Amino acid sequence: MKPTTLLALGAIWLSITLAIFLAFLYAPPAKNFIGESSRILFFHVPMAWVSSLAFILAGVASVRYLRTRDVRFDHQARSAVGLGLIFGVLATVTGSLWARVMWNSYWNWDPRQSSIILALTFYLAYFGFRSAVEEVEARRRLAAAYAALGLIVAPFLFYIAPRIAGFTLHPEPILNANLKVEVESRMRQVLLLSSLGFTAFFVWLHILNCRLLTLLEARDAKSLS
Amino acid sequence: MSSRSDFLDFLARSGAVLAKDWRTELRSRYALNSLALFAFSTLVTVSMALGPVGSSPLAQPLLPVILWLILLFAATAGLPRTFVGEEETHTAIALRLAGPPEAVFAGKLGFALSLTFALEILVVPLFLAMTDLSPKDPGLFVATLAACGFGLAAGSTLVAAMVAQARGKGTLFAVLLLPMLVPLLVMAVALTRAAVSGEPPVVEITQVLLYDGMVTIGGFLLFPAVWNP
Amino acid sequence: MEPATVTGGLGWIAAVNAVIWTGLFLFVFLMHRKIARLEKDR
Repeated sequence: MKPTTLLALGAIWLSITLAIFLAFLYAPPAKNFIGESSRILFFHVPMAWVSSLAFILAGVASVRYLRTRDVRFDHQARSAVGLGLIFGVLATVTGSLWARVMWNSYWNWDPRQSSIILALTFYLAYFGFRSAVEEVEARRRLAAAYAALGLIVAPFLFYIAPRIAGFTLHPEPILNANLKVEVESRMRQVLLLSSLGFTAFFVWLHILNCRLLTLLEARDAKSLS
Repeated sequence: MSSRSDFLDFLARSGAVLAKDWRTELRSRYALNSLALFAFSTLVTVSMALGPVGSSPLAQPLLPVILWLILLFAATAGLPRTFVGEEETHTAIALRLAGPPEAVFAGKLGFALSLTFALEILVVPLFLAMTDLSPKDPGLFVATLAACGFGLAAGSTLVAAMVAQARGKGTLFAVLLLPMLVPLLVMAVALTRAAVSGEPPVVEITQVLLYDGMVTIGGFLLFPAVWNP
Repeated sequence: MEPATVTGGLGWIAAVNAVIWTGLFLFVFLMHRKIARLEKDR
């Protein structure tokens, strides 16, 4: 391994480990939250962030694929959608566990829950679609068009549909300036560190995943010829 | 001068696609029949299943949901034909040669739009009669049907073009289309509910128009990549 | 007594974390192994 790679991995490991420790020991529990349940925030929020980052990245890579027809962008899009789904599921599960504590129910169709489940359905369909197209070039092209379509639909999924429901129990600790739940400065520091760590972790996973996809494709091409 | 004639040429070509689609459609009446029959039988089934509850005030907030689900599922049953048929009969190749992809998309969009509006004209009055529903704000009601029908048609046209080149077209069409149409569906239901009750809507119809515009522009941008191998 | 999943105590958060990180670790580990194997085969 190159020394820079090692350094990067060390930094990722350190920031995440530190974030975990600080989440438990340094950050105070938030007001109006039951027990210690607010500590899940330091994992739930970065996961949701990484998941949306991954989907945006997949859309951008798809547009670039359509422009250049460079296979690398197809691998990037596929990798990002896969990782986005994993982090999206993790964000949903942590959110749902927290909802059980706070709202006494795992699932109550809060607008945030509805939009994330829809986004996950949309990107699950991406893989369903891929496997339904036999010809390789067509599969890449059509999947790219679909993921690019995601960039168009996502804003409606996340901003308009929740507004219609008219209510949400979901706290908005980052986007909302008028906080119902006070974000204490120590909490904000830990959240920032954790988000950075998760983002770097995602980038590393993404690089690995792209490499894996390239290798898998090379193997399949070899076994066919 | 030349841009004007280019535009006229574009219109002529997309008009030709639209006219061709309607000619084949009127010959077999496949899409029209399947859409209308599907919508009608669902409508009857739902009204029967609701029974007297359907016309009680209890059901009032639910009726817009049922109406849009009927329209949505009828659309998923009939609209993919626009492209699937071309691929199955191998006429897609000829169509690819006939004009620029944007003109083909415009023509297909026109066909899906006219089909959707025809479906709404057939089904909605029947639905209103069968469920004893009378919108307090008919203007908003019609505007909602038009704006949301447009989004339904635009989304379906693009997704149909994608699905036509895959296996398992029918199921896949619904799987790809439904998640992207849900925001539209939610807005449609909210607006229809407001039109029925006469209360101010929680969404603006401009948001639906924004959705329509985005999906249409996205369709025109993405369609050339979907259409041309 | 309430089951441990609904109390929102420290143990609950720690358990959730343990599961998540074990899962992510396994994911990375398996991916790494797959890559190593494929690179050897090439």
